[in-house]
Amino acid sequence: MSPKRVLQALADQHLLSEKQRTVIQSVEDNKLFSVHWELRSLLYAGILLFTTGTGLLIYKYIDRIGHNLLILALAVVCAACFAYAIYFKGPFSMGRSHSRSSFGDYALLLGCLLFLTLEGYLQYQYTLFGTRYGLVTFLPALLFIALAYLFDHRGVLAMGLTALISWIGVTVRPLEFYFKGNLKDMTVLLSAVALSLVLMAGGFILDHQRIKRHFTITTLTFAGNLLLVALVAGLFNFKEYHLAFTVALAITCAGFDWYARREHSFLFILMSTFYGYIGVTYLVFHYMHWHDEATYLYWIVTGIGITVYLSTTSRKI
Amino acid sequence: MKAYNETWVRNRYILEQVGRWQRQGLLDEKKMDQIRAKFPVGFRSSNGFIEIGLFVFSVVAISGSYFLLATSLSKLFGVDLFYHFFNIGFGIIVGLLAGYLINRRKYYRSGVDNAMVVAAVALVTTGIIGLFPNNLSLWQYGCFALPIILLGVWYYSDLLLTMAAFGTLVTILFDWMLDFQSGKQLLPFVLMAVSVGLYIAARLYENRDALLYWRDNFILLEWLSLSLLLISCNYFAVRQLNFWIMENRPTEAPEIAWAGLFWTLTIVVPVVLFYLGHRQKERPMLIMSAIGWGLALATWRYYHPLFSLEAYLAINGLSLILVAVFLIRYLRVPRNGFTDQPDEDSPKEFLLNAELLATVQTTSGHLGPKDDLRFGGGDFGGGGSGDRY
Repeated sequence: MSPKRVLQALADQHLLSEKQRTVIQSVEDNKLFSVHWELRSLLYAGILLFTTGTGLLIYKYIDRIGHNLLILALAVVCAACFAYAIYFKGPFSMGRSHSRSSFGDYALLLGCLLFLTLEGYLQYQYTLFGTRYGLVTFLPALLFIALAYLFDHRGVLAMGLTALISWIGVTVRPLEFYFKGNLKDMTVLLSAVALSLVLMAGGFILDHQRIKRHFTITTLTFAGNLLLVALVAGLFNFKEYHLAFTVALAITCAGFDWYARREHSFLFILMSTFYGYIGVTYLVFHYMHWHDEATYLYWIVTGIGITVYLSTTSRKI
Repeated sequence: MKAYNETWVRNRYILEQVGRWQRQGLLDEKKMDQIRAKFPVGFRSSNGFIEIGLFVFSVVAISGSYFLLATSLSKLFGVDLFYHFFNIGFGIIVGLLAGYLINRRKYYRSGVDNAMVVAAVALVTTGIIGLFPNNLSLWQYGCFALPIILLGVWYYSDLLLTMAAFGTLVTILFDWMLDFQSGKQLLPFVLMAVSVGLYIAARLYENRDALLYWRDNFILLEWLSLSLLLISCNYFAVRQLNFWIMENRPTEAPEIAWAGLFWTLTIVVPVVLFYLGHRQKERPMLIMSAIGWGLALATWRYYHPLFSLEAYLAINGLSLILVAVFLIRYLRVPRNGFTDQPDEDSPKEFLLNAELLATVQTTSGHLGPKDDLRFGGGDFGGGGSGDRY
C-alpha cells in the first residue's frame, strides 16, 4: 500500500486537513533514499574481511622478506585507528555519547581487531608474555572493556566480553550457535559460573549507578548465556552433582524470569525458558525410563504448557 | 475469505505508515489517537523473541501429538492408504485448530499459528502425494504439491509457506529439465527467465491495494527471485551444477559449454542490478547487486587466483572500507535522491545485532586458532573437546 493510498484512506475518513495532507504528500515526494545502514554494513564487512585476511596473512608468510614490513604497516594502521578514534572522541557521559566523526566508532573497532592480531602475533613469534598464556586474552579483555566504556561502543564491549570468556577457556561462536570449551572439566565450569556471576553483579551495579545503562543488556546476555550453558553442561557431565546443578539452574531461570518481567525484556524470558526446558527434559529422561507413548505425551504436555506460558507472560510484560 | 481478518491487516499497514509520519513529527499524538480509533487492529501484538519460542514449542507439541497418534494407530498402517489418509486427516485437524486459535486468540504471525499452518500444509501435502503411485518422478510429485502449498499461501499469506512454494517450483524445474536431452543446457537460462519473471510479477503486484494481504509475500518473493537469478547466472554455480549431475564424474569439474557467456553474465547481471536499483531506488536490487559483485569476485578468484586467499581477504576488505568511506563522505549531502542520513525504513535493530554477532565471531576467531599452535596447553583453549549446544 503506497503512502499516497494511506493518505487517501485517512482523507476519506476526514482525519486530515487538506493542509496536513499537502505537507505530508510533499515530504513523501521529496523523500530521499537512505543508504545509511547499507553503507555501514559495507564498512563493517570490509573491516571484518580486512582483519581476518591480515590476521591469517601474518602467519602465512612468516619467514619471507617483507613480513616485518607488513607487521609494521599493521601496527601503524592500528595506532592510526586509535589516534583517529581518540581525536574525534565525544565527551564522556554516563549515558550514550557519540564520536564526533561518522568513522570514529569504526576506527576504534578496526584498531581493536588489529590490536588483537598484533598482540597474538607478538606472543606467537616472541613469546611476549612467556608462559603466562592467560594474559594474552586477559589483557585485551580489560583494555576492550575499558575502551568500550570510555568510547561508548557496544561492539568493543562484546569483544571484551568474548575475550574475557575465552580467558577462562570457553569459546563463543554465536553464528554457529554454540559455546565451546572444556565444560567437562570442573575447574573450567566453575570459572565460567564464577565469571558470569561477577559479570552480572558488575552489570547490575553499573546499571544501578546509572553508568552506561544501555550496556546492561549486552553484559547480561553474555553472562546469562554463559551461566546457563555452564549449568546445563554441569547437569549433563556431572551426575554426582545433579541436585546442586538442578537447584542452581532453577534459581537462575527463576531469576531471569523475574528480571525479564521487571525490565520488560523478552530475550531473557526466552533464555530462561529454553535452558530451563533443556535441563528439565534431560533430568526427566535421565531418571524416568519411559516408553514411546509417554515420551510423546511429555512433548504434547510441555509443548502446550510452555506455549501457553510464553503467550500469557508476553502479554503481562 | 482468508485466515486472518483482512481489514485488520490493512489497518496494520496504515498504522505502520502513519507511525512513520508521527516519528518524523508530521502528526501529533492526538491525531494519532483519532487515527488508531478509526483503523483498529485487533491482532495480539507479540515480540520476535517470544515468537521464536512459541514457534519451537508449538512444533514440539504438534510432533508429540502426531507421533502419539501415529504410534497408537500403527497397527493399521500396514495398509499404506490408511497412513496417507491419517496424514491428511491430522493435517486438516491441525489446520482447523489453527483457524480456531487465529479467530479466538487473535494470532497473526505469532509463532503458534505459523507452526500450525506449516505443519497442516506439510501433512496434507505429504498425504496427498502419498496417494499417487510410487514410480513417478520428483517433478511430478512437485506439481501435485505446488498447488496445495500455493493454496496455503493464498489462505494464510504465510512467509515460510512462500519459501516452500518457491523451493518446490525450483525443484520441479530442475528435475523436469534434467529429464530431456537439451534440458541440462537450458536449465540455467530457464531458471534465469523464471526468476526475472517472478521478480517483475512481484514488483507489479507488491503495491496493489487488493493484494495487500500478501504484500510481505511479494517482497519476500523479490528477494528469493533475485537470489535465484544471481545463482543461476553464476559461472561457478553452473559449472559445479553441471559437474554434480554428470553420470560419470571426472576428478575435476569440466569446462562448460558457453563458458564465455556465463562469465559475462556473472559480471554483467550485478552491474545491471545496480544500474536498475540505482535508477528505481529499489533496496533489494541494490543489496543483491552488492552481494552479486562479491560472488563474481569470489568466482573470479576461484578460477584465476593471483594471490593467496588471505591476501584477497585483506585486499578486498581494504577496498570495501575505502569504497564505504568514500560513499559515506560523498553522500553527506544528498545526491541523486540518495542520502547517508538514516531513516525509518532501515532495519536498524536487526543490523546492529547482526553486526554484534559478527564481531563476536571474528573476535573469537582471532583468539582461537593460534592457541593450538604454541600456547594452547592446559588452561585455555581446551582443545575443542567440549559439547555443542
